[in-house]
Amino acid sequence: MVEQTKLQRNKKVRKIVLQLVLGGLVGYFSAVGVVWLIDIGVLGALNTSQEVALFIALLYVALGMLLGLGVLHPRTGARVLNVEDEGDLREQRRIMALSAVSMVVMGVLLVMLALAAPNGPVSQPVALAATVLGAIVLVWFSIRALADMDELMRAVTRDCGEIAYYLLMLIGGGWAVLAYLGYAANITMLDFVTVNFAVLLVASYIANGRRGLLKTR
Amino acid sequence: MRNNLKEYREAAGWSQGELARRLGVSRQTINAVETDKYDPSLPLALRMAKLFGVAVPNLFIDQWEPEAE
Repeated sequence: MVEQTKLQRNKKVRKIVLQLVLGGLVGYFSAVGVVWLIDIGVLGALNTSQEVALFIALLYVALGMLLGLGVLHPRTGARVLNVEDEGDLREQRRIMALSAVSMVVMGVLLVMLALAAPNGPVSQPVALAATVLGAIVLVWFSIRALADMDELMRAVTRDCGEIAYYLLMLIGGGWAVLAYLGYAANITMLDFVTVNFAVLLVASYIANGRRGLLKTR
Repeated sequence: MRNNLKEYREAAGWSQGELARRLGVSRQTINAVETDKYDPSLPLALRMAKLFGVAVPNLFIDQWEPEAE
């Protein structure tokens, strides 16, 4: 019994280390890659708002790809994702596939906005068309995902929306008040979009954590 | 809300996955209920009670008592 507990603990520690190393590597190489592309001028002369949007976008794409790994290869996915075993991934394959594609779509959508003209290489009509198309795909996927969710996942989704709303009130509203009164700089419209994406990600972690879904397995 | 779901499940010899399958929910839902991270809906609580052949108050423990008249 003691031996089994020790083995389980070692397995957990190995998994945490693997997750941290993998997350660190993905984050590091994504950041280095973006900085390199910006430096060589391939992405145009991006301003700070566009660069921040690009980093958040890549985070979405990277997380979506990690989820996708769990869908395509549950055995490997179980080693890097926070699930009990590959059975969990197989059981929720459909909903995870929808989540993975949705996250990549959200990331690509934000990339298109971040790289939009006049500073970026993507023309404004193309960026707008990509955003509208991405939004339609996301709504369609969300409706399909809702049908597959059990009551816990629906509760987590509701919690996430609720938390995101209050975070936006706090961060966006707070910043707006400070900027209005002259204590902070005005943010750009792209910053507003980026904050929405970032807040949704943070809210999702909080909502999952509150239901014990982030506990290391 | 505190509950005895784990005790009843283990007495039945079922894993979390097996109970989840019988109730038509995910294994995470069973885990979240057992660890008091999630209170199930009334329909799910009723299904759990029906599955174990007990009343809902046997599964879910509420300390509240009505005030004496």
